[in-house]
Amino acid sequence: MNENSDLEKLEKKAASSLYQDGIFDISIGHVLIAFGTASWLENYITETYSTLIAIAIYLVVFIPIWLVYFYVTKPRLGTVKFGIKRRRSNAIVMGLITSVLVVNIVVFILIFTEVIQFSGHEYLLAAVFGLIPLVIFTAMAYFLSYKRLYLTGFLFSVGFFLKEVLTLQGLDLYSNIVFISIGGIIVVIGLAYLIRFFKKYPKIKVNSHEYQEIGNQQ
Amino acid sequence: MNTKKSEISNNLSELMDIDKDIHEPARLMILSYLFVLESADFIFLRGQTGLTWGNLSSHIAKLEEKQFVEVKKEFIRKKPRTMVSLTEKGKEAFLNYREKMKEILG
Repeated sequence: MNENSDLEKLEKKAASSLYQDGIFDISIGHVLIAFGTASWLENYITETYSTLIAIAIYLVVFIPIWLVYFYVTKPRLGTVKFGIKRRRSNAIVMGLITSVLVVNIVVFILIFTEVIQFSGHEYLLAAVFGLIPLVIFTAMAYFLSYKRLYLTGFLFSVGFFLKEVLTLQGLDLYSNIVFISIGGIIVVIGLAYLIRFFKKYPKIKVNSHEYQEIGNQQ
Repeated sequence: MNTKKSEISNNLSELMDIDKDIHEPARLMILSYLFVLESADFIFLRGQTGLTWGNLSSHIAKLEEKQFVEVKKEFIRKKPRTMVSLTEKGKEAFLNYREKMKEILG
């Protein structure tokens, strides 16, 4: 066993502690809820309106939840600067996500312009759709030491795949239910973590003179 | 048999050379975190170690006195933040401590 593995574990523990407030889970799960709702609304209103409603639904949750992050959970977690290795991992994740997104956009354009044709291979396309979030979330989980994202990636993957398959079968309503339900599961997981976070990190009651003492020692 | 006894006695006598400023569990915990991180503020260290403000302050003061850690006060958007990082001396002392403990415990 690597003799530094205990220190590596400690560093990973410190890194993963930044994600224990569940904020990211809530916002990412809500993406599925918003898009599932928009897709369902397309049966009743135009695509433009349903897209606008989806954005509105998303922002209604996204803005307050990130305000909670900036004003409540982040100050309770404190500030930490990680070493070069961790910063390199974060850069790898950013690079990977950007590459996957660029490839997706290019592939989407090629499909849209019919340069690539999937006629007769629609289920293969559904499987590819399902793999995209799995790759992104798995990489994030590994490099950011954010283990919960393995589950999120799996759920997203299942959601994307089932949505495509059910849409192909003409079961639009069920495909939207799947999207919204999976989004709901991820949001509930995030909420559970947020509640646990509030219990573990109550509002900081710092005895001012103790804190001052340290500041004055310089 | 005698060789083994003298080995044990040698190992135990090495215990006297252990840096007692690091050996204290709370300080060891603080140093371990600072060894794997570039720097952290008091709030983060408190959350990770589970120490009280008073305990954390006094242990960091002790480590600062020994020049094992550096305490810097900075202002981010007009709010004070006290960042703590390990000095070169602190890194060296921590690594020496680890080596010594490994030798003693086999």
